[in-house]
Amino acid sequence: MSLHPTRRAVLSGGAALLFWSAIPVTARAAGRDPRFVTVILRGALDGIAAVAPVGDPLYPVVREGHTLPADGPNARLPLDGFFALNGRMPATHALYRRGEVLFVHATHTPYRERSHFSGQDVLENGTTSETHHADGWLGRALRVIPTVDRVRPRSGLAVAASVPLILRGSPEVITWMPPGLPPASDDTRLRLLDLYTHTAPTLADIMEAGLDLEAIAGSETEMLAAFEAAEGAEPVARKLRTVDETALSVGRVLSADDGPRVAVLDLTGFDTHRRQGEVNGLLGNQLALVDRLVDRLHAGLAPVWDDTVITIATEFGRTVRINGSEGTDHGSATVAMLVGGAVAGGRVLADWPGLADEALFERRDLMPTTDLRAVLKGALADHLGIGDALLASRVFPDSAAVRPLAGLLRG
Amino acid sequence: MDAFTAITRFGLGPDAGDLGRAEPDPRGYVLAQLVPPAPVPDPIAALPPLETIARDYLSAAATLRRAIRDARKNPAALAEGGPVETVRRERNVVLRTIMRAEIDGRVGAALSTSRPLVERLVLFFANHFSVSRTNTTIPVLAGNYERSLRPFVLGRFRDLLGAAVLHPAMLSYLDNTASVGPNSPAGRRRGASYNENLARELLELHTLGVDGGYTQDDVIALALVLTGWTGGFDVRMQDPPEAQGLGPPFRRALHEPGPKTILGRTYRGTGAGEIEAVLDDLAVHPATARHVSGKLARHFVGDGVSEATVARLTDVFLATGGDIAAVMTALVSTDEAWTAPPRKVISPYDFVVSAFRGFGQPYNYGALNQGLTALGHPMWRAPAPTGWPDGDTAWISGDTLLERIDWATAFAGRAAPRRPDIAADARALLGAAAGDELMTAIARAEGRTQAMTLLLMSPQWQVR
Repeated sequence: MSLHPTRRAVLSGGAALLFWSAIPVTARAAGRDPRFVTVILRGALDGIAAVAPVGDPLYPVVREGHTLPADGPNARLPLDGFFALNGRMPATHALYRRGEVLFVHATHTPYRERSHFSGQDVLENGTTSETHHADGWLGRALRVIPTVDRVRPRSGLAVAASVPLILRGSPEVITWMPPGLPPASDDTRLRLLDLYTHTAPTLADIMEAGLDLEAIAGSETEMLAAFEAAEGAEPVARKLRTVDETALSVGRVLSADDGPRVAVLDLTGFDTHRRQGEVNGLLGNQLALVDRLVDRLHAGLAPVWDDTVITIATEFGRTVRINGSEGTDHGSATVAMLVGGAVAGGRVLADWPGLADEALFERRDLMPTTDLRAVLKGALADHLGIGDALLASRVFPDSAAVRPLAGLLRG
Repeated sequence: MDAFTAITRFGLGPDAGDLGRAEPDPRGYVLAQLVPPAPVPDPIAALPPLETIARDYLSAAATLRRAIRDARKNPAALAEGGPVETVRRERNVVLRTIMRAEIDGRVGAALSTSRPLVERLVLFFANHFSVSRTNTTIPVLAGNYERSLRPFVLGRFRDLLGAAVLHPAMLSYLDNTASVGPNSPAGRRRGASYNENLARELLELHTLGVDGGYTQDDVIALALVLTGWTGGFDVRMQDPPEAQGLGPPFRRALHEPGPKTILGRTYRGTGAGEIEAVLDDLAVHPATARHVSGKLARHFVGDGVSEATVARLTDVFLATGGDIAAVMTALVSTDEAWTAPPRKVISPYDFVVSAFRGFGQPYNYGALNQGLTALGHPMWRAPAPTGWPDGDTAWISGDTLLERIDWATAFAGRAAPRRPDIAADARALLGAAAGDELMTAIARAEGRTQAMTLLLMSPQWQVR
């Protein structure tokens, strides 16, 4: 593997920041049996609320009223002096302290518009075009994975009702869903309630009765507040059970002697336009689900944890500033995570562009400074042994200019 | 009068092809479906006749009955893994195979039909003459029972009535198989007697209606007329398994002799012919006309349908001797049928089928079954002889609405990833009914699955 030049951090306001230095990557040790899990967070995760740039002096300005608290219950969890992790992710933080979680911030796919559908398509297809639906980067990677050592060829597990775009093109995909009808997300229910309120009052009444809500006469944010207040313990318990079952099953399948070594699953509900509640509300609850998933995957993959890399990514981030409804709108750069025993973690990689207006993308979003494909390439190269040339031509077409990040994983 | 109403209120739900076909002349598109005869959909035509079902099932059932009888002398045979259990499992396999074929046929017909309105009428009359899987016999027969109504849904009510009431499934469901005339040879020999179940429901639910003007004496008289009608679908222990099959539907030895008087008319005790004469009269009774016309009008147009429309349909019913196609033509010809606002929430079965139809999804038995079970609409298992409720919001409560959203999400999880443009789907499926609010919600959805969920759960889809 080649060396990469040291990148300079862009400083904003003088706080110390991170560099990542070149780490020569040795060839994978013979006899490893790597596991690779990708988690897609659908709905555009607000990276700044998940991993907050608390060392940036503009952070409390742009996120006034929405900063992660420094103390009290669910206080933010320190990462490296500049960044802090959302307090609803203690399990992830514990793994970070053990060096098994790596965050990459201000990262983004090449996509620069703001549609969920297209953004997710680009995230999954690994190209620069949202109209490419024939196959996805992980499916193509499985086609070219070397079958040396004990790398199990060629099949992937998708926790989904049908093969997701990211795995299309794989020689073999097994799909699996947790048994029973998983509950629809709160976000979906809320959007329907919104639709019914405006177009079908009878259905709105019935739905409110089902949600134990009082008749909602106020604004949408008031409706959301009532919705949150009515959310009982039972729906939360169901969601946690679904996450647990999913993680357990993925762990079991991937730890088995023969069978897939690659899995894809997703979580929805990150599209926090209103009252995003970074710590105690909607987004905080969502991050708690991510944390639970990380924790349960760690448990389920325990026998093979040292050989495991989990990538967690979302289609894009959200606006740097809060909108008029106490939430955020669609943005650009955001945070991605690598989790696993094979990860050289305990750090946040970021070419931090800063939060001043002139440093933002279109004066509203965090500026992307690291192509997400560089992160994925680095993980695929070092973990699954796929060569640079194949990564640049087959797995991520026409991406020769995007150098794989080296040193993401333990040598 | 619009095309979307034509395919939802009078059809099986949003479908891009049907919407296009209805657009030039929505009323004409609907009326054309009422011209008899209704072609038999291929998935139905492929199903076996009752005689074949009887042979297959009854031979397995007979084998089981014999095994149980033999086990009285040899109790060890009842042990787990023993011969009785093996034979019982074989019978269950036969049962499940038959049922599964019937379900596949019914849903297959809905997915491939060129006459959605005919499918709606079949479902309506199967519910009007409801039969439910309350014992072991009926699961085998329920599918065949429903499709035995098909030839008549665009014909005369009298023929529907006869096909329904005298089918072995109905005779079993409403206990007529155990009803014996006290003065019949069998009655006198065994001291057995009749029950009123089928007779009462025939008058109260199938024909005159609860206020139809019949008395307790009428119920008893009708019950006696019905004695002897057992349907012939039973195991004859004196015959070997391979000789089992459908027997004679009427057994004179159980039939009460003598004349019976119903609603002031006396029917001579001729035996099997008595019920035919009684049904002839009940089928065209004014109370029946009003009862059936009212149910049809409310089923299609909603609980709030006007008295004037019901009266119009009743007149047509009486004038034509109960011609269903004529009654439905009269309904479709009213303005109210087209101008009444959507009020009826579709049933779970209609919803699940409409999802498969709308998105051209291949029929998935697991998803269908999961939906019907979770949403409380298991096939052929209505809780009472009154059938499934048919009110405007009968199918929707707080809980069931949330369950529907869950099912829609699961369906969309399977179907949405392959559909590049859900907004285009919405426009193709709903046409002018799409509306700004829904299109905005679809555009803002967090992903394709949610977008399709919103479309499936939209008022346009759920209410007609």
